[in-house]
Order: sequence, then structure tokens, then C-alpha cells
Amino acid sequence: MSQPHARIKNLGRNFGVLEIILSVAILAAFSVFVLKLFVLASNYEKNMRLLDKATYSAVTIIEQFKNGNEPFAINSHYGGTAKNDVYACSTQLSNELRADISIKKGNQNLAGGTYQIDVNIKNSSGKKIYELNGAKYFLNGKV
Amino acid sequence: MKHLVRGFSLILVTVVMIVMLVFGLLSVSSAGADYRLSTRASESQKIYYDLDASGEDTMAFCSDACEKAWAASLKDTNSQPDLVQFKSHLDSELKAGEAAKHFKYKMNDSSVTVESSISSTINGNYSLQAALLCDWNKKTGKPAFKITRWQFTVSGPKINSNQTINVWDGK
Repeated sequence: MSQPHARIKNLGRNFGVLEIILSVAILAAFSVFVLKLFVLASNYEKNMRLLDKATYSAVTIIEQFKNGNEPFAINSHYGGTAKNDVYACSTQLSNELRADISIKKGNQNLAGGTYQIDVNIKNSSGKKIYELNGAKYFLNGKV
Repeated sequence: MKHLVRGFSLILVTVVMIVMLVFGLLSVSSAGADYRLSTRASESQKIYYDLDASGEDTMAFCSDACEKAWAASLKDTNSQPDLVQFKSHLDSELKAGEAAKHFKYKMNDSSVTVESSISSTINGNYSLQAALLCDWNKKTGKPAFKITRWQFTVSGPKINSNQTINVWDGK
């Protein structure tokens, strides 16, 4: 039969081990939740960065179109040719982004014409991130 | 001293977890706010170009009316430019069509001014105030419309001029 003094000493030692096990368990349980938070924040940041790049790229393309002397002048930047008053091309902007550009005449009845440009920015997996439409009036196909 | 050490690791882990949780929540909150700001910025670009395209449509309609009026006036007068005939044809051309609902025009003896106010269909707070002028007084050939105002406005709270503060006196 053990002495009361020795029993208290053993209890103290066991409590230390139990405490560490409990601490590790709490750490493991809460870490999952905290890690999920950081992953969520990282995803938000990644999406924001892609959307910013996509917006900037789409605005740049539309401004290049609007600054052109003729409706399809942006083919000097992005290649492609116009057929039957319609232009379409797809260009890789970066490793992450691709732009699908199409230009067509808006109102066929007018003497000149409003040409409409549609810019679709897609990510590397082909998912559409951003779409921007613009228009410009060209008198008889010229500014 | 031994009593202080006992239970310390549990408290330490709890404190660390609370701190990590707070940082995690702050990080998500900050990233979410940035993402919402980015979305709003991209939406406002859509509104801008939507309004700009509507303005370009008005410009196209007016220029087309001008072309047709000029051609009709030449036809009436055996290819001799006649500004009275042109004005009459332009007046009737500007009245016709669906696009005429979106602008008002004033016609003088020597010019016509088109005023258009287009509100965004996406967000009604944004609008484009456009003004076009066709001046045939200069007699420099065929009259054509040119843009005299192309202004984007965002309606917001009115500024009370009595509550402004002079931050710089110009010296």
C-alpha cells in the first residue's frame, strides 16, 4: 500500500502529461478552423487580384479600340482579321488570363455606324472572370 | 514555483489559439473588403462604358440624320448646297425614330444643339450628360455634328457650401 505523500506526487506527474495531451488536442481542433480562415482569406486575395487584372486589361482593350482610326484597328495589337464587318480574336494576356475580343457593327441602318466591342476575360481554366462592352461611332468606318 | 508551472501550457495554447483566431478573422475581413471594393470598381467600369455606348448611339443617330438631311437637300436643289432646305430636312430627321426620345434639340438659323441626359440602367445614380452641336454658319462644306460636352455624373449627397472649410488660402 502506497503512502499518501507518494500518491499526491504521482498525481502531480500524471496531471502534467494529461495537460500536454489536452493542449495538443485543443491546438489540433482549433488549428483546422484557423487554417480554413487563412485559406479563405488567400482565396479572396487571389480572386481580387485576378479581377483587378481582368478589369484593367478589358479597359485597356476598349480604350485601344476607341482610340483607333477605324473599327478594326486593334488587330495591329492582337492579330486577327475582320470578315463581313465582324472581327473576333482570342489573345493570351498573361499566364493566368486570356481575352476573347469581338467587334461588330451595331446598327446596320445608319450611314456610318456604331461598332460594338465585347471583351471577355477568362482565367487559365477557361472560366469567365469579367466581361466589358463598349461602343464607338465611326462615320463610314472612319473617325 | 511548481504551482505556477502547472496548467501553464493549457493557458498558453488557449491564448495562442485566441490570437490566431483573431488574426484569421481580421485577415478574412480585410481580404473580403478588398474583394468587394475590387468588384465595385469593376462594376463602375461597366456602368461607365454602358453610358458611353448609349452616348455613342445618340451621336450615331444625329450624324446619320445630318448625312440624310444633307443628301436630301442636295437632291432638292440639284446638287447646290441649300442650308434652308438642309435645316428643314434635319428637323424632320431628328424628330423621327426611337432614338429621338432620348434627347432634346434646339434649332437656330445657323446651328442645332442636341442635349441628351442618359441614366445608367445598371445603377440609376450614374448618368451621362452629352451635348452635340451642328453649326452650318461657317460654310466650310458639309455640316456635321461635333461633341461639345461629354460629362459623367454621379448623384450623391448635396454639398452644403456653408459648411466648407478653407484648407488653403492660395498663398
